[in-house]
Amino acid sequence: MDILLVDDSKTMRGIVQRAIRQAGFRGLTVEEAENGVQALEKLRTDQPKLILSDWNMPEMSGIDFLVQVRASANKVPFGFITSEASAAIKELAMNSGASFLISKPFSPETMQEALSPILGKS
Amino acid sequence: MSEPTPYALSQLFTNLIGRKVTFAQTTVAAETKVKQVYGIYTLFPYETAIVVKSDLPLLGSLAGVLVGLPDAAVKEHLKVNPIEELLRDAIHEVLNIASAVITTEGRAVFTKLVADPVFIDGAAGKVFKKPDHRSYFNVLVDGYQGGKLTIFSQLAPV
Repeated sequence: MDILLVDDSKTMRGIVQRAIRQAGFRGLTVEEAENGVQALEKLRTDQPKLILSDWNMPEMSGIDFLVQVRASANKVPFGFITSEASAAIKELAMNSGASFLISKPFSPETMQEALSPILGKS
Repeated sequence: MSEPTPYALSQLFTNLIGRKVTFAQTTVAAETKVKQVYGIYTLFPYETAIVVKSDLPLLGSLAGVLVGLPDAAVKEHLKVNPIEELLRDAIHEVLNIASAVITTEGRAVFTKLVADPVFIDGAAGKVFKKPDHRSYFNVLVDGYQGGKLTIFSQLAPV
């Protein structure tokens, strides 16, 4: 698995997958999860190169998911894709160990800028 | 509470769907027979709410473009009751993303979509029945159905 994509919206998971392709990242294996609980389950058996997660989700929020990932000593790069865009939210994300936060709506260019340092040039 | 600007709303939705979306502010929204739906938001940290009333064809259009449906297909999908998961999920995502611009104070988090105002309860019910402020918009979506959208809000506590 290259990317673990965590979002409760099937629509948004599709949009993110499309943006990843449009950003030039092709042939990547993207696994999907609907929330942090499902995502933690997937992390027990596989280690992605990158996690992309929504912030507001049922069962477990994105920030709680990130805290649990870091609590298990997993240093996988972690980025948020969210409609939450305030400075306080960004600060909380970064202080908790996120690599970046992409605000919705976003362009393929934004996706490329965020993912290139982690996955290499597309 | 400072109201969202037509410019900010137009920009956000144009960027979201990749088609020109134009919000024009009006003084009042005339009642029509078009089916409407209601998006409910919790406004942090004020423990109040924001309610967005929208013509269903408008939200359906924004959602439809998002998932690649042509206008005719959106119209067909909207005839089905309840709305199919594909479009319903996309409508939720449109309302979720709108949370970034529907208020200029506090942090709005989209909580649910209801098809009938009788289901608008709690803090949202109070705001909807007795808002401090209403913002009315006529919305055009290039190549798709537009419609009316109203934002109901309360003054943020000082």
